[in-house]
Amino acid sequence: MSEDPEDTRDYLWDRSQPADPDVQALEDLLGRYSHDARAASKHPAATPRPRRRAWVPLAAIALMAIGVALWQVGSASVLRGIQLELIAGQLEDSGGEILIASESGCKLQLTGEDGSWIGDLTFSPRSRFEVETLDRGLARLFLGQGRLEASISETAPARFFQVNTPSARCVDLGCEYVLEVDEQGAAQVTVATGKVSFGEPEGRERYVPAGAECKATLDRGTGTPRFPTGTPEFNAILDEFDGAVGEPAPARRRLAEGLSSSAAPIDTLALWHLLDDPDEEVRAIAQATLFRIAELPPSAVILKIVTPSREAWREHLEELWR
Amino acid sequence: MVKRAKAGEDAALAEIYRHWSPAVHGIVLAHVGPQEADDVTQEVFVEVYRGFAALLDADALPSWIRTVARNTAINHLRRRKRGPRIATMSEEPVAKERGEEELAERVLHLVRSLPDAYRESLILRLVEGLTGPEIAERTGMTHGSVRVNLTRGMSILRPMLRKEGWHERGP
Repeated sequence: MSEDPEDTRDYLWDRSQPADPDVQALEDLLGRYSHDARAASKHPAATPRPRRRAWVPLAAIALMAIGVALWQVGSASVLRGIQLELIAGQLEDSGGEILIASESGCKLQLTGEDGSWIGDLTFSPRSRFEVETLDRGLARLFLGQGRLEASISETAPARFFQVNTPSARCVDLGCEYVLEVDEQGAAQVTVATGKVSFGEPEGRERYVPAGAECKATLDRGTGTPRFPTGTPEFNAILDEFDGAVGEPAPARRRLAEGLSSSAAPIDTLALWHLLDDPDEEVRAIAQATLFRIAELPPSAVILKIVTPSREAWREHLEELWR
Repeated sequence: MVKRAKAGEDAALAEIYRHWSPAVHGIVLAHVGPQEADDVTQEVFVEVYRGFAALLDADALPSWIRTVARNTAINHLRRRKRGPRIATMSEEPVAKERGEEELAERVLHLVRSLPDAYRESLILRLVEGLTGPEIAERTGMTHGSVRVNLTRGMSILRPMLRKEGWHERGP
């Protein structure tokens, strides 16, 4: 390779042959970090359905057979300094993993090593759940059936408190929410304050802010978050769209067009989630609709020029979701 | 194109983005990590679009964009309250069997540890795939400056790679 600044005939300068092996190898290795390579890699791929954990109804029979012990108020499970304590109602403990809220329901409190309050968990009567993980970095439950009202401290780290259900995982991002699971394992989260992440653990996560709700079923997976106060026609079409999992692309695209024509600014939450739909045409419909109905500030002009990330869109749309 | 961009024409703004985004991304990557470079690149263009009206000399556009890119990247780092990641020479040799992703990361760190002028030009060349003349055109530097940056940068980088176990004809 020439070190003469006047010599413009070499591979490092303008790829003149013969190739410099080191430079060529570096180009091949480092090209993955280029702007164009990263832009090309942002095409969202459909993620495989994760294995779902099945709730075992036979466990209930087992509990009756062996006779269950009762948690009394003051009973606590402590692991690595994180404490989960029963503070109201009663809890049936099979001696195994499954806990069942009594006929009056129950309330548990999560506290940190220093006794600081992390959250309150209120279970409706006969709710069934397990403690999967209780650790400094993670507190995770499994709600098999029933209703949980969770109120988590804003100072708790995001994603510290999580609840698995048969159909989805609900991850706290600092909030109060209600999570319900029916006998078929279908789950619905409604967020009162703050926000949660909701979806299959290895799949697409849904962002559910205050005032919004999201459903998940075992056969269809996680639906699209929406505001129940959103446009009635839009929400009705959205239910059809969520139910069209596995339908041919033209059918889904027609529904997406229906969403586009009925959407109002409050519906941008659902449209934002379609920006990572596996179908490119659905994504394009969603983005075009967002440009049409969302009142974006002047600084959002960048969204018209580049292929924006979902995060870039969210930064501009969140004002509409408050 | 600059005149149309100053008038706020979307097509002209898009053209400017298409033409300059690899160069901006490369300059940003010289200062911040790959995961942040995309977002910072978008921030640069927001600043560029805002500042167009004040640009008096269209010929100054390349060097102005380069300055905005550098400043935006540096301000981003300041906001994070961390300095730029500078690679330290590892005692562990770069093994042929090591995963390619990890190898790429280590080599990128070595490039980013070079002096400012050299690392920017080398990233534009080796990562973004711009030729020397294209680097000069997009950054406002002279051909001579770019040539020196590339040549001297590679002359420092090669022994660093050898010391890490990089074989003469590549990984």
